[in-house]
Amino acid sequence: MRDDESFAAYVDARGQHLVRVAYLLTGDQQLAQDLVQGVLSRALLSWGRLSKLDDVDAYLRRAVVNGRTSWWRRVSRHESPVALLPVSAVPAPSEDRAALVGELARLPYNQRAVLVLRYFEDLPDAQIASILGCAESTVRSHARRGLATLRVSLVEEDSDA
Amino acid sequence: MRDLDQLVQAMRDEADALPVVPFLPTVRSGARDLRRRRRATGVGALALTLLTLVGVSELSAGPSQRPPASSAPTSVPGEGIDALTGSVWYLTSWTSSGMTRSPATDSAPTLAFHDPKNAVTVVSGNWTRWGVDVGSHVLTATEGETYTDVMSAPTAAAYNAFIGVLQGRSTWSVTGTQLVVRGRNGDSLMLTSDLSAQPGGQVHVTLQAKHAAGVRSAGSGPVAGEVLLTRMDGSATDGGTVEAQGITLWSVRSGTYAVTAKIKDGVCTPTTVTVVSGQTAELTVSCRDGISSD
Repeated sequence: MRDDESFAAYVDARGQHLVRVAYLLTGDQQLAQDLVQGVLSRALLSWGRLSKLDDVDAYLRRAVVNGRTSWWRRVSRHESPVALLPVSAVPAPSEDRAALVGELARLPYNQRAVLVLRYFEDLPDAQIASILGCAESTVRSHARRGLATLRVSLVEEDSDA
Repeated sequence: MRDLDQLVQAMRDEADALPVVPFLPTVRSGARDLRRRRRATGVGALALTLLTLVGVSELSAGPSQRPPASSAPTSVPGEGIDALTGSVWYLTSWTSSGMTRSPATDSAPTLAFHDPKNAVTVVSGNWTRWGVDVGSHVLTATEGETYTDVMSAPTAAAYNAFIGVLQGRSTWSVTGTQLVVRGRNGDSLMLTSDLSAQPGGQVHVTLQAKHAAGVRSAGSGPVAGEVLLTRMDGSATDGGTVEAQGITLWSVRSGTYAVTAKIKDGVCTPTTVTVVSGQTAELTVSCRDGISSD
């Protein structure tokens, strides 16, 4: 398969999922699309090399997470963080869902990223630590604090406890 | 107390509710724009990087005083504006929200002033031009043109540290070879002009070619090629082109690296190099030309 076809197939299969991850991280649909488009545009230029990676999905997920960090620093110089996710572009959520996702949006970024990567992406803590550039114990700490802030009961045994 | 399952379901429902937008055409268009920008700025980026690495030091010290790669670092001539703008500054650490962090990038992030009005920061190939106004211990900086690629977490952290502190008005002080820049938000950057203070060292590479028969002929010797330094855990670290003069130089973190090299119509013997903090490791890679690498 030519690189161009291979890239189109990847975007077709995984592009929307990356947007979903970016949306949960940024809390803004348009910014999520911009972020993923930027990451994929850069990836397209290097697709011949990237497509040979064992796990290109992991590479681009990492790029989205780290790209979001860069974006946040830029935007936060000019704007105040949103208190709630802007939901005008998506169908009205249920009350509970809106409350939970709204609280998620108010978490510090690392805590939110850990919760998204752990519970939405189902990634192990070791991989999350690698993506965020921190220790596994820090990931567990972020998760614990994030869940506590959300007042979500821990239904699993926290190995760091 | 809510159940964890509720949170997971809320995230999935929220994400699934996003409309599906076919954005492949936009991605392709973005890639074309990026390619054009890279072509347009490629020469500038190369010049910026070279200037950052060697140019300012050379201008500061003068050609006759320019130190060899393995010699003692350039000293800062004074503590005024000239001291700030006359050196290449290597980021050693920064504080963010009261926490001190050190760069974990493979090469040291740098800040260099072309002149009292223009500066550039470089973090693992990602660079930002800054319009600056340097006053006595006050620095006003405006972010200008940037070039960024997909960043690793350590690169993004250092990149954001520069942006967070430099953008706008900050205060600076030079003491000897140390520069401290404090941003309005209380975060600060600690930099040094002393290469030996870097957590890593440098690698000085030469590719040495012999004929396949093993007899070096007149005119053979250093050749151009591609070199890749790889950490012992297998992650690629740094690499690039070694010029025909047979010399290149990289700043990398301390440790042992596997070194592979390629030359045209030849093969090179893989080897290793150990980099010690503040020192320059000299490395000669043996290659044999006249035989196919396939």
